[in-house]
Amino acid sequence: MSAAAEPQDLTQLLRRLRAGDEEAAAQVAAAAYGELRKLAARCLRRERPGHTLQPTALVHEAFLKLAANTRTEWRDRAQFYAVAARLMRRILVDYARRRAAGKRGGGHQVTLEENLVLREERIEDVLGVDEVLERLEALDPRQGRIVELRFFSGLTVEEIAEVLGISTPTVKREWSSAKAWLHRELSPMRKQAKA
Amino acid sequence: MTPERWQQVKRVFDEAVEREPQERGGFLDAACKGDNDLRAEVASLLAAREDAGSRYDAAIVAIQTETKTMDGDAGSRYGAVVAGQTTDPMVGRRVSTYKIVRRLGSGGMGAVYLASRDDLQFRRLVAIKMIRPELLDENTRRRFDNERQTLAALEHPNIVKLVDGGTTEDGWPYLIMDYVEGQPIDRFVKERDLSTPERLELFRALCAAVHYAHQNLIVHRDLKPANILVTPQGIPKLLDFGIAKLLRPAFAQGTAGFTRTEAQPMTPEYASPEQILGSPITTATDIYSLGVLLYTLLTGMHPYRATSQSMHELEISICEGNPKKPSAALEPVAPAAARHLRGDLDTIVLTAIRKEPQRRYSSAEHLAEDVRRHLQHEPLAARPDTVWYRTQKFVERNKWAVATSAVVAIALATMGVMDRIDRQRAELDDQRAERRFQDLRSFANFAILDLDKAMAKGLTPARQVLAVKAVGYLDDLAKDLKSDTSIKVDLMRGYLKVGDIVGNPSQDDLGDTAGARQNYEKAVAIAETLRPGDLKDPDVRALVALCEENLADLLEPAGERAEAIDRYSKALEILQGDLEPSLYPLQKIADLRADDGDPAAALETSKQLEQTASEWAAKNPASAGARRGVAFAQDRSAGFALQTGDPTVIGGAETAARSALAIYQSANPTPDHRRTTAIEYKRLAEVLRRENKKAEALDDIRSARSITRDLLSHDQLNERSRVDETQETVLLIGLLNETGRKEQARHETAAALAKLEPLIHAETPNLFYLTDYVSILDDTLFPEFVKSRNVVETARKAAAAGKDWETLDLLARALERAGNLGEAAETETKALNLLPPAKPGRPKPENRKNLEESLARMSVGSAPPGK
Repeated sequence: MSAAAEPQDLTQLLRRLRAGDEEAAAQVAAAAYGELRKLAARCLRRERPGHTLQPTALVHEAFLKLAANTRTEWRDRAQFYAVAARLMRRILVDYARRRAAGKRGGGHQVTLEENLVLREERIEDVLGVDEVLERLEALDPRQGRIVELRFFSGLTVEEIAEVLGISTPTVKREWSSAKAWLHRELSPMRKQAKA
Repeated sequence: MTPERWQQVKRVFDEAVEREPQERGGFLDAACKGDNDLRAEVASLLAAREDAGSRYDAAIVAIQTETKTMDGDAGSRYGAVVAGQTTDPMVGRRVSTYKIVRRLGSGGMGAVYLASRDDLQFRRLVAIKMIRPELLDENTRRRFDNERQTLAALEHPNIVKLVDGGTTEDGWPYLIMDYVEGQPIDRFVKERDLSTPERLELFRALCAAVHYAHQNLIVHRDLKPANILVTPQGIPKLLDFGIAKLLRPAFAQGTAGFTRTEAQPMTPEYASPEQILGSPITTATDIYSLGVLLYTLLTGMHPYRATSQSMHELEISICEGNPKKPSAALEPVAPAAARHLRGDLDTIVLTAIRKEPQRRYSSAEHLAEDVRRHLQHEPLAARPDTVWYRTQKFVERNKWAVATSAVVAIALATMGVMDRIDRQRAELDDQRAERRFQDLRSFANFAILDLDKAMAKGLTPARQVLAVKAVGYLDDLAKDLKSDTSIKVDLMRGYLKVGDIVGNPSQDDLGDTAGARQNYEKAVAIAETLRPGDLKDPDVRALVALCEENLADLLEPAGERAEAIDRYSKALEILQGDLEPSLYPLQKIADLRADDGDPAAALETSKQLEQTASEWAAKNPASAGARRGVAFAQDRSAGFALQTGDPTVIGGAETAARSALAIYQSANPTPDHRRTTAIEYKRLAEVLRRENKKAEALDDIRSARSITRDLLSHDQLNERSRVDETQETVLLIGLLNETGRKEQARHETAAALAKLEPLIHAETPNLFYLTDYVSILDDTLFPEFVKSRNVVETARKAAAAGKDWETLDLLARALERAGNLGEAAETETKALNLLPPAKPGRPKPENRKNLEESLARMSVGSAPPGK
């Protein structure tokens, strides 16, 4: 992790991110990723064998950790979740790609990816959703974020509502149409893949 | 597809989903109005929805822990003492009613054996400690017998029970205690790889046991890992309580110097300075050992051991050396773990192992309590009382609440004053400043500590508690006011905050308007003592303007409209064109113009407001606040456009409201922002209703209400949110009525009335509840709701309380509905007379038009023929 991604700079980074600084986004992501990995490693060490965790727990905890040493304001939270969700998406997609290609993530360190458990049929979903989601994001950025938070980070409808500052009925509605859309867009691809 | 088209598709889709599957086809035909592409698009999404089921709902991934084998509980069974020879003359002997089975270990004082009693139905295992006879002379043996009784009385789940004791026939004193299977605590935590909080919990249990013994006037004197066993279930058990004293009475009396002899069983690592120096032993000695133990549990190291090679060096270090902080000791080995120790845990450990017994924790309970505080992020007792430290803790613990409330702002503002006085104090040799400082310091401490408790009950009680205290301190401080501008500024801030808390109608207030006014007036009075030069600072300008504005805010509902306009204009003047601060007075002036019966003029002012806001936002492209300023102005414009009743401006109102809503939605979800979002949804619903886009309006008012309900669920006492919710419900019911959604309308009406009924029968009911209740019944489609209720009576209460055109209009309509047309017309006339006089040459506002129409209708029906 670069020095710029140290936790104490999180507030600063998020501020720059709000101002549209793309480099800051990368650094927040690096900090978040580092924290997610550390947490994963710790959880893995501490938990009983065979125990499973949800990534959302990691994301929540990563934020609390990163925010603990700084006076990160609460309003930064939504921003952080957005970044973390993007990150989880990237991690999952990379992982699914490797799995699809029959390779395994290397390295002897405990990384987040090595311990991901993804059933075969969901690999297809991860890659597919990632692909078509870009089109939905172009049509409706907010809806795209909802999918990202829900599908890749596992946040609940209520959490998403809180993070995005919209009502739960709105999130439910948006999620409902987004799901239908995703499924419809993915169906031909599935057929193709099978053919 | 374009984004706009997608929004359209979603709207139809959402509505279709709400319907029963068999009705959807018909609905799509109607909704798409011949737009076949739209229909096909929605239909395919609906089909995909059915097909997808909950496929995407479950978490996409799980993270699995590796399978790893846990090393079993293979540690030594009893103590850390070395296992001895296989043949021991004691084995097989009978002691008391027990038979010695095998030797568990041995040490300087003798040996420990496992023994069992199987002459009864069950088998009881005990540990028997045999003490070398030469350690006890005649005197001490007598003491030994006495003390044994006391020790046997100790009954605690974390203390190994002393069962019996005595002397064998051949003169060996012995102690019999429960046999505990377990590992010494240091090994236990290491092998189980316990987390720091888990280690601390274990430690707390020990402290409780030690405290219990201290209350029974028994000091352990030899607390060390070997004497603390942890069972496989994780329960710590203290061994050998008080035994060190039995064995070394002379030492315990403090009459002998500490000389390490072969017979000396003391473990120097855990000995306190007073033990080494032969000073009196008290409970503080055990506190010290607990501190060393905690040090070891947290770091795996001894505070002095690392730097001291020989026993002698170790003893010198214990008595004279400065231990490294636990975090510093761990830093080179495990920097990440060290970070967790920094701060609280360093403080706790170092307090416990202070060289002077009187400066340690006064009891094991206090030590345990601080550990608990640390675990729960509360301020420690041991920490020096720095305000900043307490604030930090408070904020950590109440992260969410703090972020959302003004409560802490005032505490911090007050501390700001304190800080400054603190600095002045150095320069002025002024006893009064010193006293004020002390006052404020206690206030700050109060703010942090008591508030915390109040916070637990929700934010509103916290504010109340704070406000009462704060005024007293600020008044005291103001008495000694010197000419220092910065103190004046902080005081003004303090009064403003207190005013806000007790009764600013635009904040979550406690409803004490008179109290608020007093505080604002105090702030204005201080503002008037400022020098003209002070106003060169834009922050000071903004603050002074704020004082004027807040006062004006209170004058306005009191009917002092002229003075309110005056104060707002004064604020504008003080601001000298500062963009952001000018927004508020501009907006208020616009409002007052609207109240004056000229919404068209208000709309003009509001356009000016939009202009100012946009300029400000353009200068601060990264500022979310600036964008919200624009939204705010747009919201006002939409509101005034509605009031004009002018169809040519209503289209602009929708654009404005939508734009405002989009901005609010993108804001971070603090309670205030979320409330604003709800309000904007409601505004949009009102505009759409006027444009006859009622289905859309329904959607938006529902969104508004769900946000408000969520806010309410977090702060039940918040009257403001409750009023919001009721008003949103009134609009929702109106829209349901108008769009013929009869079932929902009936359901909502029944629910709203049931909720309002107890509220309107309160001793002094809130006017909003009265008017909402009457509004619902005035407009309802369902006569059954009106039948059993005395609407007119409630409307009279509302009119009596409201004394304005709106409540009178409500009463008039209730009377009309009840068939009392004569009084209805009379009442409506009164309402009309309360409206500001019509402005010649200006367009007639919507409310005047409506009242005149109603009056005409009522008069036609009520006018006796020929009159």
